[in-house]
Amino acid sequence: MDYELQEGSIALPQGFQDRTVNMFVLGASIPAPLSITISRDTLLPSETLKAYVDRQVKMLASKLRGYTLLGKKNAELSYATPIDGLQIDAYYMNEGRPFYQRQAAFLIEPDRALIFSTTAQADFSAEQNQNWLDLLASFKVRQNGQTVPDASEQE
Amino acid sequence: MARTSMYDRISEKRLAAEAAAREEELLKAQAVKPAPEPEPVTPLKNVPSSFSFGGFELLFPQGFSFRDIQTTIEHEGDPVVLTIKRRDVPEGATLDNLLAESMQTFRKLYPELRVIRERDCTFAGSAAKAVDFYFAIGHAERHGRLVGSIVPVADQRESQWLTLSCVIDPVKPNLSLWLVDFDNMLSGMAAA
Repeated sequence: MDYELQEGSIALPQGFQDRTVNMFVLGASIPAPLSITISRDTLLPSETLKAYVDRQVKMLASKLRGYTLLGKKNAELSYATPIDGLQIDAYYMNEGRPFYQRQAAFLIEPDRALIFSTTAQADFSAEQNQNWLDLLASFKVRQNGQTVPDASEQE
Repeated sequence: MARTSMYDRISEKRLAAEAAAREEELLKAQAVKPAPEPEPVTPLKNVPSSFSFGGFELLFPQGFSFRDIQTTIEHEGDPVVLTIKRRDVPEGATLDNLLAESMQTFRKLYPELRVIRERDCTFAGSAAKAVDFYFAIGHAERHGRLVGSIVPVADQRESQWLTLSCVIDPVKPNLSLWLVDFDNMLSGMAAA
C-alpha cells in the first residue's frame, strides 16, 4: 500500500493497518497550551458509535485517574460531505491543575472511526470553541487519493 | 527591497483565494443551519409532592411540598449525593448572584474548591446556569455540579430559585457517565 505522508509517501508491506496519530501543538512551550490530535480506531464487530464512545469513556476513566466526563452531544464533521458524530467534553486533574479535553468521533467507514481531540490547560475560550467547529467543518474526505470537491468547487 | 518574482505573486494570490474560499464555505455552513427552537417554559405547579422508593409510592398530603431533597443514590455500589432546593426569589435577585450565593455554601465547606466550568443552559425552558467544580475531602477527590434556575410558579407572580446539585467521586469508573445521565435527567424533568 502506498501511504501518503505530509512530507512524502511510503510503500507499506501487506497487512498493516493505519493507526496514524496526527498531532498539532500551539506554540513552542512544553506542555503546549493547546494541542489537537487526529487518530484512527476500529470498532468492535457490530458496535455502534454511541457504544464505542461509552466504552472509550469507561476505558479512559479506568486508566486516567479522575478523568471526568462533563458532557456529551452530537457533532458534525465536514461541511462538504457532512458526517454525524458524537462529541465528549471531559477534564482530569494533573498535579492539582485541570486539563480540559474534547473529543469528537465520526464513522468514516462502518467499523472505522476518526477521532479528533483537543487538550488545553485552561477551559476552552469562545474563540477556541469556534476554531474547533471550523476545524471539523473544514474536513474533506479523501477518496481514491483525491479529496472530494466541495459544493463551491463543483459549480 | 527586492521585488518578489511573478511566480511568488501568483502563488500568494492563489493562497489568498483559497483562504477566502475556505472562509466563505464556513460562513455558508454556519448560515444555513436553522437556530434550534427554544424550549417552552414549564412552571412549577402546586401539586402534592411524592416520591417512589423501591416500588413504594410516598404521596404527601395536599399543602405539603418539598422544600429540600437531600438524598444519596447509588450505582453499582458507588454513591451519588443529590440535593434539590427551592426558595423564594428575593426582590432584585439575578441568576448570577443567586448562583454565587449557592456556590458560597460549598465554598464555606471546601475553601480549596476549584471551578472547572461555568456555562449558561436552560432548565425546563427557563434560563439557567451550571457550574462544575472540584474539591477534596482529605485525600478523597470530589466533583460537583450545580444547576440553578429562576423558575416561574403556576398561578403566582413570584418565581422560585431552584437548584439541583450532585457530588460524585470522580475516580470511580462506574460513575464515569453519571454527569451525562444527570443532564439527561434534568432535561426530562419537565416532561415527566
